[in-house]
Amino acid sequence: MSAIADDQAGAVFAALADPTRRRVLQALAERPSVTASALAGELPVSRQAVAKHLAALRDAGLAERQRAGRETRYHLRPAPLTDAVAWMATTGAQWDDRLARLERRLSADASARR
Amino acid sequence: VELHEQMVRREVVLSVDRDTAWKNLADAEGLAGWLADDIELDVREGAEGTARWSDGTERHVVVDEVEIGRRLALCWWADGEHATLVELTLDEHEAGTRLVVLELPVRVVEAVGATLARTGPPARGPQLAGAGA
Repeated sequence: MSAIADDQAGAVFAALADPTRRRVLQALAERPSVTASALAGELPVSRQAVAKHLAALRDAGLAERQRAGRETRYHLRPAPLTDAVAWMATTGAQWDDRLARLERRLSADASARR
Repeated sequence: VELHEQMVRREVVLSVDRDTAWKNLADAEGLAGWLADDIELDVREGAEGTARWSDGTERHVVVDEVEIGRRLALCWWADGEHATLVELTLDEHEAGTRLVVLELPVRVVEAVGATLARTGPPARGPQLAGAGA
């Protein structure tokens, strides 16, 4: 398992723990790029709150900003989401293995007692 | 991507009673051979230990919470990785004992204020004693 991927997964999950931030992410995902003001116009949150959520998404590697003339535009970076999904898949498979081992042990114990 | 699913959850019904099931969680001897290939750990709150697998991977382990016979919560992490929280909960089931496993990054627990989707009766939230500090 990759330490970097797990670290990234932790950051992504933490960023996504906030429901409003998930709406901001969703809004980013719906178009190539957008300004913070435009997001504030369509979401029921202030311009200031949008800026805060965009900063958190950038920290998690999920959003990137670009200057376009006098505007600052934001766009989605989807790659970390793939890492997060990979973490869940790997971790889930590990638990499937562990629980299968536990069940095998318990059934072996049961037959030993008979 | 299901954004609301930020944890790994598994559930299995073990064909033994809860006391028998707990023996596999109660100490290092019980945990070794399924949770990891080898475990050095005192199963008491705050205890630190190590889990090892035959492929050479190794994780530090800190026991977060123990409710004897019912629940074991621990944090673990490999060097250079962020800690994840693991919760193992046992409940009575008509066919034996239900074991529910949750694993999620500790940063998520902190971000959502430790309100995990609990399966049993409400208990106090994880304290994350010394988790990956």
